[in-house]
Amino acid sequence: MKKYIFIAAAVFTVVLSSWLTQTDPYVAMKDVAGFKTKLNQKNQTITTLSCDFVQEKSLSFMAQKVISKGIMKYKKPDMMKLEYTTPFQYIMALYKGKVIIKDNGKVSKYDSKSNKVFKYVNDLMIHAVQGNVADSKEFTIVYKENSKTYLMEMTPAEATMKEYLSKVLVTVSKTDLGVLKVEMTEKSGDYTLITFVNRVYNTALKDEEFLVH
Amino acid sequence: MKSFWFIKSISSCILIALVVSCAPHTYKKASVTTVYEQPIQSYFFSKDSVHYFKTSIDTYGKSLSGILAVRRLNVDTLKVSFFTEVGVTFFDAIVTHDSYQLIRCIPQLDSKGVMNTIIEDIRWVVLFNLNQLTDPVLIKTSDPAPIVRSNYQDVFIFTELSKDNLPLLVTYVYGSKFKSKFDIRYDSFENSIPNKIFVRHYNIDLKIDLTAISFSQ
Repeated sequence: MKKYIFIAAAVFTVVLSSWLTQTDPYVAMKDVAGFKTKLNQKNQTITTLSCDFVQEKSLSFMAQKVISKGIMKYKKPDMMKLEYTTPFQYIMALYKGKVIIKDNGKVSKYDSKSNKVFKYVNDLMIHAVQGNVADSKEFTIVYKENSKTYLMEMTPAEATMKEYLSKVLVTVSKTDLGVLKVEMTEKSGDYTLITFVNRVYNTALKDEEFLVH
Repeated sequence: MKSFWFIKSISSCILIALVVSCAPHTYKKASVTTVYEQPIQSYFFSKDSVHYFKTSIDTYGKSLSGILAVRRLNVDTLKVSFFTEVGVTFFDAIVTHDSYQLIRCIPQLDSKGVMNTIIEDIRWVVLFNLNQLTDPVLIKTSDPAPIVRSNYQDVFIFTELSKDNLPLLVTYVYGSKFKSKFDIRYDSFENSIPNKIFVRHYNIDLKIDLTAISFSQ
């Protein structure tokens, strides 16, 4: 179970460094170095982030799509909270090296450094938080762009991650360099698309807001 | 001497309490009355072809949680998908009354013992096997809710029913000692539909709690 929690955490953490949409065709990015620099500069200006998210999960096997919604909060350097509110309640928080889950009223805590998977994901999170996702060694990344957005096509390089995900697409706005959506595709072809809306940067968030009781 | 008597009494009480609490759940003394002729009804698949449950599984100190989706393809076949809240799939399976085919499954769950148990539980949770029950008879009980015993393969299914013939408690009973293997309790009704379902096993440490949810499309 811990592994899945951390894979989920990793995917969400990728989100913290950039933002996007997919309307016109993507072509190879012309200035990858410039994009990385801008992304790093943008992330250095971010101290907190709050937004709503909409998650769409395709179930090809069931011929269904399911949609859930929630709230995300992030605070530098190492706090993040994902709170699903509809149609179920579920909280996953990253708090100073701990992963905290609240499900069905029960709170579980895990140390993110207690095993290899934890450490791997923790490292990924640190990269993401510091704006270094674009330099991540855990993924091979193809950079693309269209008129409105940048697209990072991230393919897992690490064996554990490969077991579950074939690709992660991160779409970044050219307007404000914020991450607009993240799409993670499983080996089966099923995908989970998370769209971030109502993004608000650098409002005061207390550490206590990331604790889960 | 007085204190010795006191300690002995307390010890006896504790022992009795332990014996009673550890006694296996059994229907051995249940006696039947008449044939039960009314068909047992189901909560599921009359309006919706797919049901979703926020599901948590606890076994031997470990927990697993996610979303369970169950679609009825036809009267003899279910499609079942179980995935994390964030969307990573645990398993997909096609389920019939007496077999199942795993389409995909994470390595950690991909063992015959684990999946046999989970699939069997899912069949009973959504009352998929109701039409497989035979020879229903009413059990003699002081409880106002009727309890019906039915045959299923080589075991018994005891079903406590509401006045509308909907199951409130389903108990899977096996062997000559009529021991309960597991039971399923339907609870927290809203418009006659259970919002909560609790599965409890008696011969292994396994409990599954399900909460019905509805996804907006």
